[in-house]
Amino acid sequence: MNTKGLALVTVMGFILILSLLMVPLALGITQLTSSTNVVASKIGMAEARNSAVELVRYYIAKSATACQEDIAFPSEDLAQGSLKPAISCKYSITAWQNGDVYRYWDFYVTYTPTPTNAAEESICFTGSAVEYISPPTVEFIPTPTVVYITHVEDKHVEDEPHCPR
Amino acid sequence: MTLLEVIISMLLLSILMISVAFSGTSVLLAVKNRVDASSTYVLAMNKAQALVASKGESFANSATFNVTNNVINYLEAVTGSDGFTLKPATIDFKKELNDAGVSNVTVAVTTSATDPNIVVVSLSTVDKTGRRYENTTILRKLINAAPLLPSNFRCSFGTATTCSVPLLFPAVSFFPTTETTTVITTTCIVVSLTTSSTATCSLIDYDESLTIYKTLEIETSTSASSVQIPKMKGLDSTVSNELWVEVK
Repeated sequence: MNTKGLALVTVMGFILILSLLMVPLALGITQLTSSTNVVASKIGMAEARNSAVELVRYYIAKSATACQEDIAFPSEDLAQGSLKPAISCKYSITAWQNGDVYRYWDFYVTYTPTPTNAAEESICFTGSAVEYISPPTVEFIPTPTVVYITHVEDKHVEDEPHCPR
Repeated sequence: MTLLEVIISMLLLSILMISVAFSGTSVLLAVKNRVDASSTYVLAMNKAQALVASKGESFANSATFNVTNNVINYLEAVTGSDGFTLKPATIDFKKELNDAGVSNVTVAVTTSATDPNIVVVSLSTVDKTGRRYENTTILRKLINAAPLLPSNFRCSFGTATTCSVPLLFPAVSFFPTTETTTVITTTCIVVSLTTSSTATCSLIDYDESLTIYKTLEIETSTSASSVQIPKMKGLDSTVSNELWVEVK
């Protein structure tokens, strides 16, 4: 073996040793990354659920004066994905002097993760809410509304036909 | 280049490569050991946090809860054919973590001082070198367990009558009340055309284990076209508003 060949073998041996040392290092970092992604997706989902409920609360409070079924709204973007809500008024209880005093709503919010979270599937947050409409104390003054959330559930989008696509 | 020069240059190159190999290896080994040790604790923390978030999902539907010795005891509102039923449930994160093989993580569960619907779960662990790893997960109760009228509220007050209404969520008392006083019978008003009269509103169907009333009873002595439903206090201290409901 000439001198160049010896030098090459020495360098290659050195690179091989380094590579072998890098393998467990790379495996450890891969495990850490995938574990962090799982945690991030869980927390992102919980935050999306909380945001969906607040969004529904807002849309119900701002809804039209009559009980109305299947009202869709545009998507709202969060850092981890988008929320597309739809609400549907199912029943109402009539107040003493016209109008409704209680309205019973079902809500459906489809959460679609951002493309960077492509591994996650879309989820539909469904549930029910009761809207309380107080009688006007002074004419022409908008009446305050209270929205009680009574149920929240996670479903697959395919399992719930009312979930916005 | 003479043979002597080649031998000397190869010798120098070998010394250089050996020193590089040893120093490079020691640095890499140090980094590897650190990553291995970190991953042990970071992975444990991640596993613990994922488990807390996962177990906390059911907490969203809790009607009421309390935290005792880092254990969350809550009543989960489960939907059924006849409205909501309350199912007692418990989340013991320490036990869950032990079951999942994460025993070196300390759990502290507290309620938020600013929002009564929030539980803060703090996780921490310390490695052999004294480095501390910490994470916090926030669980939020999303539903309002107010004693509301059910959507199928139908009472006929064509004559003097007694009507029982199963509440959507049970009531603790009529409102206003104090913590030491529970008002379960109060006077409510009914209106028939232009004449108003008093009626008796009572909370009945008592559940001893939960100290709650599941049904509202309205007893009138005349016919009525509208009924006053008084304010009621729910399990989670949510108060339902006073209503004037039209009845047939």
